[in-house]
Amino acid sequence: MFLPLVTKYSRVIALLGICAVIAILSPNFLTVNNLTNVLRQAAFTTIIATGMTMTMLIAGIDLSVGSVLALTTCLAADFLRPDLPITYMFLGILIALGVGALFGCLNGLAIVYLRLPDFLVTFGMMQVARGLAFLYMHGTVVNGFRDEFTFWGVGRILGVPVPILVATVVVLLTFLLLKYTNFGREIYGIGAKRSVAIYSGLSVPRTTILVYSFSGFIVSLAGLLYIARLDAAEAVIGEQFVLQAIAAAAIGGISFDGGVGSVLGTVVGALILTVLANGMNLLNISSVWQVAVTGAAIVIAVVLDRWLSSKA
Amino acid sequence: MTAENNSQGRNQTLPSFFRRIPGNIYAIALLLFVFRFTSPEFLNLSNLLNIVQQGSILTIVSIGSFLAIVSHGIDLSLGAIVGLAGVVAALAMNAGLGIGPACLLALLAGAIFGAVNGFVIARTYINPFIVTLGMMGIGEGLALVLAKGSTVSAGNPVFKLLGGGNLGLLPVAALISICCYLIFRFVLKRTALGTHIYAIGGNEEAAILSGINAHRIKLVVYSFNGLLAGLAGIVMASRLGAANPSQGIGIEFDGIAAAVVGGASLAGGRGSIWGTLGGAVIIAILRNGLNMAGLPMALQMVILGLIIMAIVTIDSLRN
Repeated sequence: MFLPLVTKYSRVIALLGICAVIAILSPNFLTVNNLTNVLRQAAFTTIIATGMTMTMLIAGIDLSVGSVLALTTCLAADFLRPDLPITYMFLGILIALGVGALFGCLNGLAIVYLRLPDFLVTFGMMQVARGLAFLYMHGTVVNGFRDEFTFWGVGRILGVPVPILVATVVVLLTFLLLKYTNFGREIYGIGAKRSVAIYSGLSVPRTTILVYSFSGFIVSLAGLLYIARLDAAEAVIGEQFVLQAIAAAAIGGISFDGGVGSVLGTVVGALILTVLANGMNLLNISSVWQVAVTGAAIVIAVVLDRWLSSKA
Repeated sequence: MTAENNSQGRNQTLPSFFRRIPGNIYAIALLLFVFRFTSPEFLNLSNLLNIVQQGSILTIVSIGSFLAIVSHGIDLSLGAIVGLAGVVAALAMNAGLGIGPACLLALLAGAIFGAVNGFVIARTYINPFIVTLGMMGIGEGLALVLAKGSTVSAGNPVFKLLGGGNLGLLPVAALISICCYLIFRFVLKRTALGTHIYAIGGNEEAAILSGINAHRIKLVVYSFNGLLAGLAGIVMASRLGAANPSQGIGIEFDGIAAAVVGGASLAGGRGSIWGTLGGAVIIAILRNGLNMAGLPMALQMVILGLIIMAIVTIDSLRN
């Protein structure tokens, strides 16, 4: 009776436990300022991880997220300068979101029609998108965007930073999409048993292409918020998001074999990662540890998850 | 299927060897021909030796990628181990250890790392992709921590011979790589272990039912992988005269591409180690040729990504 409850809320318990330990070790953790900061950092990872969650639910993976983020934001950057009319800003945003969705769509098309493994396709796309970003930028940095744009990265509405609000909306919409629409049920169906999904009339190609397009779209949305916060765009950004997004989803209980997990788990996963990074920062642990801790968090989370579910 | 492969292996003669991997040979010939025109110096002996030297590291790593794929797994932690082992070897030498003990320590670090991969994968049945991805993070992170975020020098002139020296005309690194291929070719074709690796990759349940200890095989496969990546890391640090903790990042994907281009099936149980060698050589030639053609780095990335995808596509459509 007790164990199923622990299994169900193991991630929340882990998050609270980590928070408690850090709060005891560092008095600066439980301040409004710091917690707001944690949530704002978690917002970017969370948004990208919702896209990753969708691809992982159909037993896929999208390794191109970091590069697509860099390419789409670089393409948009020139349109966001303050000396241009505001219509250019909307044009830039549309271009970024459109190109993001297009690259995602190309991933999906290659996976479906060329029958290539998802991680090889998206790894190839990662190289291609990063290369294109470098070619487009020629090593330059574009900085100084108009205030209406940077507002989305640094502004607050009713005291809450905008990225947190956007992340909340994205997560809620994804949650509703997965839980209450046919499309969502198709995603779980395909992930759980591909052959059964095909025989029961689900369109695996269509769903796969849509899921990867969604991932590309959502990544460029996160990218726009990210450069709005940095107030700069360059070709090298975003590399860290691939591992973080996969880690958030994996820690959040999204099975790598597809069909299992909820986007709410992914949010908790993103929070765990961000709190760990923040705690290490507060405790003056060098940032070189961060990659190792992210990796360890993935391994420990999936092993614990498997162990707990075998007990339950 | 596996038994059939094995018996073919035993009776193999030179002509049948060429018949079995014609695609790779033709691709290599075509690439050499094309790059001959894009850069006149491409076919010079010094450049060809350069390709062999650079490619040796990838060819060694590719064996690891291949072993994981044949056992119906995947190993994404190889690049991280390449970085980690290089740093361990360099730090050990800087701490006063001899070359031999330092290299042994690095190999041991790689093997232990791989054994952890194998243990977790075998015991928990968790998808190898996510396990080795997590271990990739741990390995990259540990390498960074050990190297304190910067490059560790490894300037010992004798150590530098491993990756940069020549024995007659042949680079020492290539010799090491060839030895690895011969050893693993023997293991895969002539030992029970090799047959078992193919068997659990082809159909794990059937293999277990016929008495194969799948846990042990997976543990051994991933430990071998760690050992090979460790060796590649030593060679790389030796060639560069310094160990950069991120020196191996991404090489695991080149290795996977090499195995797949060489005909290994990601569904497991199928593929040959010579095919993998061919695949690795193709990728090494592509990297060098695009570089020699004077294209900007970014364009090279784009073209290489597209060509590898094209080759894999052709291969998957042909089957």
